[in-house]
Amino acid sequence: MIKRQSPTITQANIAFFITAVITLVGSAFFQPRLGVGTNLWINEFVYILFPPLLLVWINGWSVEDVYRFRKTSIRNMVISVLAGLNLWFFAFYVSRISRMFLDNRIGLLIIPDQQTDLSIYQSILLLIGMIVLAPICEETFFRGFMQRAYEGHSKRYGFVVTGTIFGSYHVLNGISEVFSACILGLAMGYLVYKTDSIATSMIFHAAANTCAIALGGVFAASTLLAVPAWLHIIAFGGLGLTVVFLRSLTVGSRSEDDQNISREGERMSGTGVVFLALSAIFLVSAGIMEIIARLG
Amino acid sequence: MKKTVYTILILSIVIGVSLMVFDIMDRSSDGFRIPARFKKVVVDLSDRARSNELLFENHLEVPSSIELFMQSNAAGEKTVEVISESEILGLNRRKIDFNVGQYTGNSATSATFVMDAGKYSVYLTSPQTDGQIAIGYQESPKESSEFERLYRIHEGDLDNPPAGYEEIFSADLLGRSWQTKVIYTLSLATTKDIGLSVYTSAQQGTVSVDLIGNTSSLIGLGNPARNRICDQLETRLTPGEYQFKVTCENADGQLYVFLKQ
Repeated sequence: MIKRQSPTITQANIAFFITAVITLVGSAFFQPRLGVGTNLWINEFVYILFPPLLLVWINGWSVEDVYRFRKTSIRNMVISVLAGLNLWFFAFYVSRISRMFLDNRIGLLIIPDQQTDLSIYQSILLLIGMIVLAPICEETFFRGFMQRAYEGHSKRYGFVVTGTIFGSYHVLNGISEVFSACILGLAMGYLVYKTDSIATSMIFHAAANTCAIALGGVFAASTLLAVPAWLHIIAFGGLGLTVVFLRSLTVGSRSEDDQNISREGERMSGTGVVFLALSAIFLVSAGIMEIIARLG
Repeated sequence: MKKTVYTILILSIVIGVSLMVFDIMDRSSDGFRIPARFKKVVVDLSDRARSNELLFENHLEVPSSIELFMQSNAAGEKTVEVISESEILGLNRRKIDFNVGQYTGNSATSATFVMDAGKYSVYLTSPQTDGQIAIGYQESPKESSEFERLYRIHEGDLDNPPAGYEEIFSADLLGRSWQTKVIYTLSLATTKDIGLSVYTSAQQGTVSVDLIGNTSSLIGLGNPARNRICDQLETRLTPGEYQFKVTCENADGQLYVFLKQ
């Protein structure tokens, strides 16, 4: 019997559901006890990176071929950095508008009354977690594992589905983050689809997160009550430049193994549908909880 | 590529585990991180349930401000109640209680209030549960002129701001019905330390002054039941716009808001 050389959509949906649930439950338990930085590391290593690596080990897959741990050209790497930096502005803009809509139409989200401040160690853990770990672990899970699985159904639109799932997952950070994460997820999925290397999406992700750390606070403070004209310009300018950059990517050459891995037309099993529905119910519930908190 | 990613991950683990160990060592073994300037009382909650059990009592020779910093590594709600023989400024009664959740490390329940000279006692109500509660407290004598100013506010003469503070809003609350009415907008081009004083003489109803910003917000100042005096609350605000909002329903008395920039 020949072992299947790529993840199935069912495996992807089961792993995603477990990861989403355990991230929320684990964070509720560990974050107050160990700190926000340590909790991020647990999320990235244990819940997000571990499942795809476990599947690689169990199935004897090659991470180079299945998750596309492949080198890419310097040109593509530079483009990934520039696209990540530019698209962050548009993602921030979308997040800001979503948040203003929620704040004005539904109500403010009030954080519980308790003192919280980060120790220097937690701050460094958070910084490394966002710039180094999140790009590697989340890209391995979403673009390496899930996108590869969904490409079994449609090579061309696998990244669209995965980008949407990636965005939905960010409802755990707040409803206002969903659309912006979707946009970033679509761009990162396109990078991998086009270059056939996960290095590009990791670099893009790191660049966008660096931008968020460096500029997020200042931008958020400057755009509290209204979206100023300069933000419209920067956001759409960033989006336009990103499109230009993405169009100038050089297409990755697919290996012979990759040709064997990639096949289209796979149908989602009943189990896959159930777990996708469970994930949707879980994430929508998380969103509803936020809305109730805003109303209350 | 694979080798590079694995190398980065292994290096990250080495650095990250070291940071986590340093972070854990930085905390005390029980998870409490009460600042050194506080006197500390730690109670083991595992031996029995407690109902208004006296933890400690002190006598204030002069009017003082009392700062409390409370943490617990035990699950379940614990209630700490402070009962004073003398006036607690900003309160209509001489006792105040706090619910202490499972807060350790960087999280805590904290409060500061001003009392006239006299005895005060601290009581604990808690279920029997594994873990401890730590109560840090600090008494700081109040200058007599400062105490007299606060006492005048406590008695209803609200127009007594500290030096350097300017009035940004005042109103009679009787018959008012406001839901997050914007009373003042503060625009900051640079990071700035501001001071905020909110006084109300309302004895009933809902009153709340909120400072709403993007990166920081202060909610529920000037509460008739919990604390009518919020004096010289200092905070650092990052650049941006901040709105002062008032909510008022079925209240009486007056409301004054002062700001120091």
